[in-house]
Amino acid sequence: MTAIVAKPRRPWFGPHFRLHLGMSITGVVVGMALLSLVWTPAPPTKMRIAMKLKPPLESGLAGTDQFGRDIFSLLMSGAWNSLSIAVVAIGIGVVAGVALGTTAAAKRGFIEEIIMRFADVVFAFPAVISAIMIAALIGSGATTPIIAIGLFNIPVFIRISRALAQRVWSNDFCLAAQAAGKGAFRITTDHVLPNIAGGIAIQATIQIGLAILVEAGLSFLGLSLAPPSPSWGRMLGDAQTYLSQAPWMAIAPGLAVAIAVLGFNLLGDGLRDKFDPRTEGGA
Amino acid sequence: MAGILLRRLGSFTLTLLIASLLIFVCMDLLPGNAAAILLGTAARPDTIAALEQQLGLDQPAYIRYLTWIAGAFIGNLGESASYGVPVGGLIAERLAVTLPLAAMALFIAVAIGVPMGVWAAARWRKAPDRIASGFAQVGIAIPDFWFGLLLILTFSTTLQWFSAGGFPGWQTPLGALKSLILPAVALALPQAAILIRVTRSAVLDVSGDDFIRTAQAKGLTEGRILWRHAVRNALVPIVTIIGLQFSFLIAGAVLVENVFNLPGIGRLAFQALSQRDLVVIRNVAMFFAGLVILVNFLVDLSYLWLDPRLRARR
Repeated sequence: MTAIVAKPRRPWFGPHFRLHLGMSITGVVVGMALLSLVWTPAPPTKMRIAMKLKPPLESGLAGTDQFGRDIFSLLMSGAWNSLSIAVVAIGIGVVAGVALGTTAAAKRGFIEEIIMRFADVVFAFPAVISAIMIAALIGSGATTPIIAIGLFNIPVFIRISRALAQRVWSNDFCLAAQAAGKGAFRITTDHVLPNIAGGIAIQATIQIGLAILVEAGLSFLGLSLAPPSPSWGRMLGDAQTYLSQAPWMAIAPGLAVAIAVLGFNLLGDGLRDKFDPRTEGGA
Repeated sequence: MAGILLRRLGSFTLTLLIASLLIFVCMDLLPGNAAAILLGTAARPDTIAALEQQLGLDQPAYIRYLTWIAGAFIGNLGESASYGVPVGGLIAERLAVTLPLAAMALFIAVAIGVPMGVWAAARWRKAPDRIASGFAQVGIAIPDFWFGLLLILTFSTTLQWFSAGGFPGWQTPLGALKSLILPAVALALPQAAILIRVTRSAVLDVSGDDFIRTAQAKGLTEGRILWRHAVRNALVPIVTIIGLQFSFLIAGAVLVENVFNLPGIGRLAFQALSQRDLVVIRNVAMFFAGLVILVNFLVDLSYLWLDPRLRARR
């Protein structure tokens, strides 16, 4: 047991190892995504049947798929698609969630009860299930994962922004602002929001990673961007058919997803370590 | 005690009702009427009208909602448009695959995640902690369905120890169990990774508490302090996360069932989508949402048992 209460030792890597590793990985992923807008090694959607199912290095860095498309170029364009869907979806979650969460903290009582009950209900719908319902109504396309992932993230941000806002509201400066005659809305915009923005940003970073993971799953099922738009999840779906013939088709896109998610998670954890050291290595 | 139970039960029922209303509004009232979706864009208006009548869509919305809810209580959820059989039976049949799969995955995740988390906490900032935390960090980032593909690649295609998918049915119990092993492992990986992190930080959280010092002063062994005192008190956050993660377990099951070609509920939902079978989608969505709500309700109740202090309050 002594081990648990032992004095913290300086870790063998730098104090902000996770932050720096996360920043580097995210930087590479975002850089690749942006680069794909102006340049890829080969046109990502161009089919070259003569070059189909070539292993890595024989044609391109990561080989070619069943239509002879360059997998590395597909991965780069896929990064852009995956990131932009994740960022828009989390944006929806943050805006709606923070608005409702801070309202719940400011108004208390009946309104808070309704908002939290709403959060419980929406949280009961895993993104895959809402995506299937949405796809049944509007078909697949970028909108389906954006709505499904955005919706699932609203309760996530309601809960965290309410908890953070409650902490701010218990401060003396909020009491002083109330005494000065400021209303709940003004106090929220002037005092609560600036104080919770950091915590929200950290959580949003982690949720973007999770959104990339979920989007890959949805597009694996064909519930996201339609072909020929490159998408990591659909590449994995195609790869399943050629698993024994062309295993590299299955390995590269999954690795891309894992690296991107790992980068955002490390970045989020690292930011939390730096700015909120109380929750060392927390969940 | 009874008061707390009743209140929790009340909010559980309310959440279920709102969820069912939400599904009903999405699937039944929003544009794109069920009959038109089912028949496709080329259908003639009179064909659509005839099907509407057959499906009961010509009745007012509140009647349709009440019929659905009342049907749920007597086990009549309507008929699947594409399978032509009652949806209730269809779901029950598929449950025989999904429930054992989820249970196996949860078992594997707890069996790996909790001991590794405790190990990491006990050797805080030493090599075991680094290994367990690194494993957790990577495990969370790996998509479960991709891990499933890698398992197929390794154990089916290359080593040929397992079949690459499919389900022989429970008539051959051993074969059925064997076909669920790889999918359960794939599904368990991210869950185990999360449990490592939560267990680790929960045990670390309580390790500075007075009762741990008392236990040390009594001269108890390290193992006994760790498992009887630290882990026992860390159970509330661990169980909470198992409950919160349940919705991810279900989402993962939809994907993993599709990777391994397992005839479970997740695959049913996906097939229903390609058949535009709204009755099945609506009921499967309600089933999943209801399950998540139920699990969170049970987790809520388990606090009363895990943490006797809560029983006295309120």
